[in-house]
Amino acid sequence: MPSRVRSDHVFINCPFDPGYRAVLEGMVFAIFSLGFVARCALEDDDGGEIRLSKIERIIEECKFGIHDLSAVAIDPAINLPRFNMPLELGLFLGCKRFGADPQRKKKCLILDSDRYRYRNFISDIAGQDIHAHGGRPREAIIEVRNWLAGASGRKLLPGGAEVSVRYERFQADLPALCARVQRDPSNLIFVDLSEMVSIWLRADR
Amino acid sequence: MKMNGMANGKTVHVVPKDGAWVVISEGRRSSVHSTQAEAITAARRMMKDRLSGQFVVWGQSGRIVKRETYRLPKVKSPPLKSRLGRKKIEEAVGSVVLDRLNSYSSLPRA
Repeated sequence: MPSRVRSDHVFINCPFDPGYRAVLEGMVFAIFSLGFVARCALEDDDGGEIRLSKIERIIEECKFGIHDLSAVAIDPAINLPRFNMPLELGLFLGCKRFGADPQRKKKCLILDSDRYRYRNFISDIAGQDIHAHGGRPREAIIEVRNWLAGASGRKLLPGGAEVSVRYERFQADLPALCARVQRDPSNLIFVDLSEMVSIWLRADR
Repeated sequence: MKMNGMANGKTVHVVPKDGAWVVISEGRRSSVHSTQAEAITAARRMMKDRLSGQFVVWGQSGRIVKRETYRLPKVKSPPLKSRLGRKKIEEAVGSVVLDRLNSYSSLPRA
């Protein structure tokens, strides 16, 4: 069976809360800026596909994965944490471990709010290099850039600070962009954001 | 270095303006030329002096008619298309970027 793994696709496993939005936008921007493609469970809102099947399909297609565990915390409304992010991390690691050859080359970046917090709730991943971004888009961009540069082996990728500067310019343009396409910048859906980032980078890096 | 409150990018723009062709870089107008070909030559020369970057030539329609990249990763397209439509987003990007370019200061006096 031909490989379905795309060596330039990056799966983003992260919370979809409004409070996380700035970090997600920063990561999407960084990924496209570095010549990769950002993928996420939000990219396809086709209600016909079962959500877990959609996530499995996207994970299968992505050589790289970014897994942000920073929102794994007790939800006071239900007194339970959300397990989606750890579940998707598990799927990604399982795909890497048990999949056929192209899947075994998968690489992932694990992010959290604190580098050692995982010890309290997901200690099985001890030994993985956990990175922190502190909820700040600039730091998330730098972490993503440094990791992708190492994981992909690509040379001459722009530096994290440089990508961060470009991101500021994109953010400055975003309200006017959204006004012209009649969209609310705070509620921009993933496919619209991705397309805007991709086209903006081609026009003005 | 920031200009007009925004950080500068690595893109050199060649823009039609008042019957001439203006090369804009780092948030300011770099040179003015009577033909597009001369402006493109100037833009390419600027690119070769830098470690990396891209130049973009804007047409009279406000759309990009030419683009060359030097030692920058190629920007990929997302696999699923926005329902807004690529053309609509391209026009919006062109409009916003050109508005910004047109706001930049004139050439410094010799």
